[in-house]
Amino acid sequence: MRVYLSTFLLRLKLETQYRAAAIGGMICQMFFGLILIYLYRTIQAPTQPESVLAATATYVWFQQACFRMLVSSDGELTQTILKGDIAYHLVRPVDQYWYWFARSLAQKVMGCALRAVPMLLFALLLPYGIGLSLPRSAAHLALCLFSLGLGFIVVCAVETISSGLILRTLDNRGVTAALSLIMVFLAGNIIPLNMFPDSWQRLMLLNPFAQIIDTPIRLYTGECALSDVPLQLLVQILWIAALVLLGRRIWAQNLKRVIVQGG
Amino acid sequence: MDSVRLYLKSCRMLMKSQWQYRTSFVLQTLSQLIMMGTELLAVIFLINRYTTLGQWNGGEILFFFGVIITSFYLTEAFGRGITNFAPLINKGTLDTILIRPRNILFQVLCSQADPRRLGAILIGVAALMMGCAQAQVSLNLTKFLLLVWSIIGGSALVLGLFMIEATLCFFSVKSIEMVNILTYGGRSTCQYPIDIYPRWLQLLFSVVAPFALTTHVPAAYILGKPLWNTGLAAAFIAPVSGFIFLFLMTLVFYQGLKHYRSTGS
Repeated sequence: MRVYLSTFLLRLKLETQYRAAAIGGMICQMFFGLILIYLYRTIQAPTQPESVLAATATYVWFQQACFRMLVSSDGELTQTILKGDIAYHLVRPVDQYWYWFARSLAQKVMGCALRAVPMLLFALLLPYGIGLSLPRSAAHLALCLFSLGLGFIVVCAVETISSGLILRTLDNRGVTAALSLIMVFLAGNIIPLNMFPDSWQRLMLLNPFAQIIDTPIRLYTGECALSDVPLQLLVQILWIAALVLLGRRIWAQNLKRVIVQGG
Repeated sequence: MDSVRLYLKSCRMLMKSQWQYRTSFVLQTLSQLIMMGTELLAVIFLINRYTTLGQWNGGEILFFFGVIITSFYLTEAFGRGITNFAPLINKGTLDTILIRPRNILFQVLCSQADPRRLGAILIGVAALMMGCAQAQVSLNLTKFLLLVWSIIGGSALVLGLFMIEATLCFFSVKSIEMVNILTYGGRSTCQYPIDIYPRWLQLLFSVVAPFALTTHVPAAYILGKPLWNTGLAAAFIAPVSGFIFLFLMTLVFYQGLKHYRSTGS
């Protein structure tokens, strides 16, 4: 456990070095957030009350602030395999799955925190209806943060599955591209999940990618009733279990066949 | 005429070289199609749920989406030399271009093309046709010409915007991300008619980067709901702003070129 924790912490520090890159990206992200909010305001205003408009704005700010969660980031594994460096990793007495999982988690947590905290603070200052609203209550905020933590685990489990496939295919740009497309769409980043057609709604709430960021936001805004919270968290945990099991299977199988290249 | 022939020839060559990796090419074109397809799907979801956006109905919104996507990705397909300018500097390829006795921008445009964008363009055209059908607009010759003219004007504008990014490459390889607000930000904003946004955004995208003039004014005229009371003549004149913008940015580009220092070996 200590190994994975220190991998995680080391990577956290590494990620803080990219502060300058974060600022440019953040300003763009905020601009896109504002555009979407104006769009949804115009489209919802005739039929929805102001409170729904404000909740939508909150939703958009969270999605934009946590966009980094959905971007696959660790290109190093491919290089490691192509150069044969994977051999060094394999001789270490660590579980490869959790090692790469911890790396991915660190990258996402820090990448996200660097951008999300200033963006959300800025969004809090904007007027009601356009900016970020306060959480329904302190309990809602705590639940949201807890659920967001689970969300990070879900998205890292997904990413580790896709990196497990690289072990065999070497180049999975195609798979990564397709996966991130589906993920961004079904996580609610392109349009909020509650704007999907009604017939999709039940399926939407159960889809694994909704567990990443959509569920935490609905806990924050209180759209998810307190009585439904245990069920929501259970869905998240079940998905984590399923995705981790699948990922570990893929890694166990593909590690046997990985070819150490180079010389 | 000679330039046109040369350009077509280089396009053919670039196409051939892409076609060497057939499977990869087809798959990447397909992924472009699916990527743009999901964006179209998002628009369709919104239309189904809310039916109207300000004064616009579903078909009209699809039409606006189609115009902007078609013109944006035409530039990404044929203007690849400009939209992907940084490697020319980093690898020193620009040096070989500079010593040839031909127009520099022309050679840059000839050097790269990205036919995979055809996937995105197809979605744009599909959205245009769906929009026309749903909004019950029949394209007579005048309206058809106006549409084509507006798409070309829009492409010119987008090329001009990417030229800012290319010019910045002469000075620094970093911190050009901000320009994305005008390019990709403009694309995303102007997928929807400009009049739904607050005043400052309307000004940004009609005066600074005139997306609204090149695409929204003609498109709104075609749909029979002219923006800002523009008539047919004004609708035809508006896309000229795209060419003016491109011309100005070309001047800036040549100014920037004076600061070019070779990096390759």
